[in-house]
Amino acid sequence: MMKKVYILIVLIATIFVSCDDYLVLENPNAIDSTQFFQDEDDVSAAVTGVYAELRRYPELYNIYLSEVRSNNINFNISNAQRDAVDISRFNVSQVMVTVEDAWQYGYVVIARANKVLEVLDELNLPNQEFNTKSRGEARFLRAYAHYNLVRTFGRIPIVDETLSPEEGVSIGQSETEEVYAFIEEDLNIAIDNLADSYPGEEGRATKRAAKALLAELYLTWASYPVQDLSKLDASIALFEELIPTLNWASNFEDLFKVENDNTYSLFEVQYVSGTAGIGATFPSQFLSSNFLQFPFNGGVPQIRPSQDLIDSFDQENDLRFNASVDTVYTNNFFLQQQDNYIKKWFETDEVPNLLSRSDWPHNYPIIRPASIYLMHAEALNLKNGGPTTQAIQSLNMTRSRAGLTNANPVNAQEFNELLKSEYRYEFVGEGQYWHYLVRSEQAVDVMNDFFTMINESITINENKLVYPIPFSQMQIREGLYTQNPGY
Amino acid sequence: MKNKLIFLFILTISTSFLFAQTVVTGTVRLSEDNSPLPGVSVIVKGTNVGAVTDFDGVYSITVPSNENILVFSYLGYKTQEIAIDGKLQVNCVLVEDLNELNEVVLIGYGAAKKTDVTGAVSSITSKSIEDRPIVRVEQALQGQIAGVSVRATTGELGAPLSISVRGGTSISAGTEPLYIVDGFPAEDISDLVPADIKSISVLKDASQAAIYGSRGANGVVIITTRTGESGKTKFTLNSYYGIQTVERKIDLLTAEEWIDINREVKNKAWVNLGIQRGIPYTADDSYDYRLSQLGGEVNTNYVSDPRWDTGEGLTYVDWQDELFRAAGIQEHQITASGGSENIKYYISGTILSQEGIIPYTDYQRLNFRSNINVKFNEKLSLAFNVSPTTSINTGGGTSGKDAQVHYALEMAPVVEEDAGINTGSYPYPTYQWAGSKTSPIAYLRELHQKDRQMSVRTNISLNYEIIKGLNARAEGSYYGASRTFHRYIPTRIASRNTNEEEGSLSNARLDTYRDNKYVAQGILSYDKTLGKHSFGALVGSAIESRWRDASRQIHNQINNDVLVTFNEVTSNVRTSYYQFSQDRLLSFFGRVNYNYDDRYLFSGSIRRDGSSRFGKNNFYGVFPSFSVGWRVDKESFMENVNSISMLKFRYGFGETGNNSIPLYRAFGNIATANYSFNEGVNFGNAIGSIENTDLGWEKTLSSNIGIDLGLFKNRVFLSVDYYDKKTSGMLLDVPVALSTGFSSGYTNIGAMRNKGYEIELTTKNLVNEFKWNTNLNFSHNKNEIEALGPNGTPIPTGFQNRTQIHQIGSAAFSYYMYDAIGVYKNQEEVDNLPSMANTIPGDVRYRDVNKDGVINEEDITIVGSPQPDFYWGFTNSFSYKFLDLSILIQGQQGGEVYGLIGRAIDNPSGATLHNRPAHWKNRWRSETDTGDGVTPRIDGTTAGLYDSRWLYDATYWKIKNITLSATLPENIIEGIDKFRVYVSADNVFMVDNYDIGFSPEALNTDGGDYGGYPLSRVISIGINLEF
Repeated sequence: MMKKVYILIVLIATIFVSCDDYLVLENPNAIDSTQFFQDEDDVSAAVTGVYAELRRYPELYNIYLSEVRSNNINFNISNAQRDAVDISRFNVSQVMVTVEDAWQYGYVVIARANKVLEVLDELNLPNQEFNTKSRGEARFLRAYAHYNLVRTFGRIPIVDETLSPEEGVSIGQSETEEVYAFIEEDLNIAIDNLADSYPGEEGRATKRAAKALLAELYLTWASYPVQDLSKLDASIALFEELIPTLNWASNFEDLFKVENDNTYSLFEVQYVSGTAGIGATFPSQFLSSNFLQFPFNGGVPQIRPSQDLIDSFDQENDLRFNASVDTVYTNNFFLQQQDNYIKKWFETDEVPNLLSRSDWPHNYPIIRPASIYLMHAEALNLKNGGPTTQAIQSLNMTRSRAGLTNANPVNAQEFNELLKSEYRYEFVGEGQYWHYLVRSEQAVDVMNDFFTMINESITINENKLVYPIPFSQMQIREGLYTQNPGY
Repeated sequence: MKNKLIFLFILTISTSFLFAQTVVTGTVRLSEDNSPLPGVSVIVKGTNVGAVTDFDGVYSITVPSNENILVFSYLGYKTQEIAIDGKLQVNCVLVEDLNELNEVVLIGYGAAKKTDVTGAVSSITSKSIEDRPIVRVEQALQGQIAGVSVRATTGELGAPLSISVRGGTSISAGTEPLYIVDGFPAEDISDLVPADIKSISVLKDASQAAIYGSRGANGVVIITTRTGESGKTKFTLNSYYGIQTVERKIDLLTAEEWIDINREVKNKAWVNLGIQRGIPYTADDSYDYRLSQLGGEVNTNYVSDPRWDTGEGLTYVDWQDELFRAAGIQEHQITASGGSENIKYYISGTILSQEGIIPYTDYQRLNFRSNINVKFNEKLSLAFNVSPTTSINTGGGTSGKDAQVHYALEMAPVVEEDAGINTGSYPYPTYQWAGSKTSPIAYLRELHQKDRQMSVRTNISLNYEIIKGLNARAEGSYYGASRTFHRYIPTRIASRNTNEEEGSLSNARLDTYRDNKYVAQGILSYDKTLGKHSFGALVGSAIESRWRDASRQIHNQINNDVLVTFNEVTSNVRTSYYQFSQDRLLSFFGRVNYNYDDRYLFSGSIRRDGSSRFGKNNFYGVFPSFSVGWRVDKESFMENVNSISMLKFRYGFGETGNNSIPLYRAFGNIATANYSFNEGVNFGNAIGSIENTDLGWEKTLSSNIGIDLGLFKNRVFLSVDYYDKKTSGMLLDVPVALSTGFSSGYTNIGAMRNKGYEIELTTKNLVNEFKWNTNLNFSHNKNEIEALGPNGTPIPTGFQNRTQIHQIGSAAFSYYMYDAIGVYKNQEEVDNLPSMANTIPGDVRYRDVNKDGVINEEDITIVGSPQPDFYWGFTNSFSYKFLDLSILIQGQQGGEVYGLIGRAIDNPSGATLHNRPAHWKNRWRSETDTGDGVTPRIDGTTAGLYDSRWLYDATYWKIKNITLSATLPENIIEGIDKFRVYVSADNVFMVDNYDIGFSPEALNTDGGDYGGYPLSRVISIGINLEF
């Protein structure tokens, strides 16, 4: 009997044995961030991780917050709340999800880029070529994210290091000009660190992309709202440095085909179809759900070109009309349905390969040769107060490709009208036109005229050229941020 | 002489033989009125020979040799032992056990006399579970116990109910109580059959729950299953069959009303088109004329269906009638129990078959249970329970946003005649004037969905009595569960396009889970009574380890729609993953009790828990508690106060914790962030969450003060408790500045308070032949958030984070939205009243909360809370002779429910495509026809906002259950010891204020009701046979 008692006591005693190790369990499904960054592969993956978040940018910044804002897109009043409708009608509230997303994903790219920069300094890896390239990429991406944020919100916090939650609530907004200066510094370092190209790794930031972005920054700096004209020379010089290197497509329509991904542009956001989940959604945003040739859900709401865009297009002569938009499609009742839509990226041959509406393989152009030429023309015109031969030459690049006759404007006003048309028709669905309108101080008038023309009682003022700081961020700490006027 | 002696010896033996064969009979009567008492158990002490009294209180028993004592027992009466002493007739008078409080209740790691309990413990027994067609244990608790709120959030088959004890103590961590099944913590109680349950205790306050330490903050529900009793083997058959019907329907437009509204909308659009085109179109323009003007195109925006005049070629459908059916439910259980003094067993098998009130849904469950108790010798005993279960849940996709109940409510009530209720599913296109949804009926019919689960719970407990009063227990438990969820959506319901190839849009999903858990615990306990001092102590330790496997495969474009299985050759792999997770708990605990002369009671406990869920700096937490009690009625000065039979004051104080946060939150994780270079796939990584090595316990400090009062020999028994619980270090996913690159991080930072009181009143109103007992319970809880993140930033939550908020000074999950106060009747009101920048006449008018003259985000305000002011249950039971009737009424006062479904079908966006609630008949149409002043114009500007128009008072009361049962006299059928039949009705009748929803208890989509599987009214008949 005593034996049994002993066994029992031993049994109980073993249970009493304690051990801290018993409670230490690693997460088997995700790597611990504190132990992750060890070697070149890890840092390389981290650099890829910075790019990954760019996949959200075209829809957010270029389409929703820019193109939809312009008179290229128009929505009638909608009964359901849709961000695109409210953006297009300048009825944006602080709680709008798209606005918060823009703020959030801007800073996600910045945080990831900062982490890469810090890890590179910490590890001091032996492969200097890798270090230089990665630094250049991180700087470029951090600059690009700040650039999108500053154009969207005006005054924003500059973030140049990894922030703890406590530090996050201590960094307030900087003036627009300070943000520009910060971006300038980053881009200059990126230009120094990046190579002209990375064969076999197309899609990475290059020296040319950094130069182009810097040139655009200078043009923006010289224009509304900061209007520091001293930046124009640097802008023009960079554009002229780039122009001889451009690969100019002879056919406008070809630019948007999958087969020409990474062929012409200086910088594109990359997408591929397949199960990796890195396909594009943006082409679907322009489609309706009842397209015969498109068995997925389209955009909710479908982002349609305004009647004004259709009507004002030189439909007879401008080759970009048929390449960019259409006014009729076949619906799933096999009927021809009258409806305007943007078809630039609707490559029907690709549809059978898609796994879902978010699986398009098309890259999205961020900086392409046409924007270099047009911005070059814009910068020259701004500097000289009227057209120069060189400016006219740059302006006519896109016109002649579109099948239009060469223009020969005689004064700044004529030149500006032509430039506006080029931005409008060349970049349908790309957001460039809206930023041109803002830079050149035409946005308020163009939009008010447009709303008058379509009989909408919407009037805007300069306050509407930036978006509100998201409500959630205004609440994060009282007094940390100042709301933009008019919101 | 010698022969004589032998003869005498033989005579004696044969007499003993005769004696052994002797049948003893007698009558058992009640002391109060001398009436015969049927159903009394009579056992020959020390044997397994037993009998039961018949309808006249008469028993007859064969007493074996050498046995002399009969034991008479009956629930609620004092057990009596009577010596036979050679008599052939032994009568017995049973005295009611007035001190029912000698009843033993379950507490942590043991049991205690109810009179000795100094904390807040409530319990129910199998009595209140029997005779109700309930499928899950939680249903048995609804309306039964003060302080325990049970919410039937859905009628989905096999779905759990939501339980909270004394209000939720947490926002991010769980709020469900800890379940203890037969002594072991259970993560899931889906495997329990209500009929197998012997009793349920709920430990409500910290002084009782603290022994469960880090998991006690939300209360502890202790469940024990039945065990065998010594005596002859008892077989029982319990069966019921019921019919379920939907509790109620929602008032929507009829087909005719829908057509009327549509016609009006088309005509208006047509006239407006004319204005734009400069042609005077009128509402009376014919179909043909309109077509000619529209270039021959049937543009449904401007043209009515000409068939609306006659209805010819169309079918009018009431989708709710199609969606709900009368459905059967049946459960059958066979048990065998009994045993000798040393081995006792309870074995049961139960089969449940439930059709859903929504077509093509059903649920089947099979349970077995074997509970064995073995006494090896005077010192060593063993309990061994095994309970395997398996279930199949077929069909689904019914509850929440974009599920079939939502769609059924939204479907236009008019369809093409040839398509009928198959509209929108292959080969039928959708009705041209309706929305693009596939018929929910076709969807449910064509959907292949099976959720198969199985589990086994095995408990073993070895008890050794070292010396008298000192027991050592070594216990172990293993729980294994697996689940396979398979769903196949064929092309014909995946697309409303009719020209899709078979399989092209098909989608199949397979999820598999496996859950394993073991618990090992050792407990040493000692009880001793010395004169007036009673002393008890317990120490123990436990380890728990749980690991789970989960995998998912999603394939699409499966090359045919015939087979529902899939492989990687004939389909596309869309998702494929395997995950493993694990957590552990290491605990030490102890408790002491002391009681002096049954008058002064003291109890104290402590537990130290270590949990792998937390940051490495914060594995351990210590949870102490104490409680005291004073039995005033035992004092000498109370001796002459006859009316008071029981008076006890109780006070308890202690700390409990909550560790049910998602696993691995303490780590900063690396998340996958892929990108493509040169058209390939590049694997990328990024930091996905913020690390917090200090992540630790949520702790709840709580105090409880209570009084138990029994009057008139406990015919009136009242318990009142008041409590105050303060949770601190509450785990919050605190919003951080997005400029950090993160949106939130888990931190122990919040504080919350729950204060409330509970009343339980039991009375025996009539105690004679006609008996009437009532039981009333009433609970009030007030929840308030006292602290949030570092800056007190409110945390938005709810649907799309836009309907609810956690804000200091308000209840958790308060509803937070615009407060709708009417509509702007005309332009003058828009101009003169506070309004939004783009407000037009006929828009919804909101309250200008900050009185600044404009309506904007700053006017979003707290408009209510899901927490009721109080909830209650009221049970009346009557019995007369062989008839028993019990009525349970249950309800809540206050609190709100947010009707997302109401908002969805109310949303004007589908003006002409969908069906909508009937109140749209009374909408604002023009400045001269302003409608009911509440319903806005159909094309208003606030459709995107969330406002209080869909916030409903969740006050309700309902007759939850009525059961009438009859116990037939014994042996009316030979060999049957007990024969009961009953009729029971569940969800009989409800009064509430929730107009556009099925049930004010519903909760299915992010804090709101987006249309769920409705509750059903069940009428059932059942029998209990014992033989």
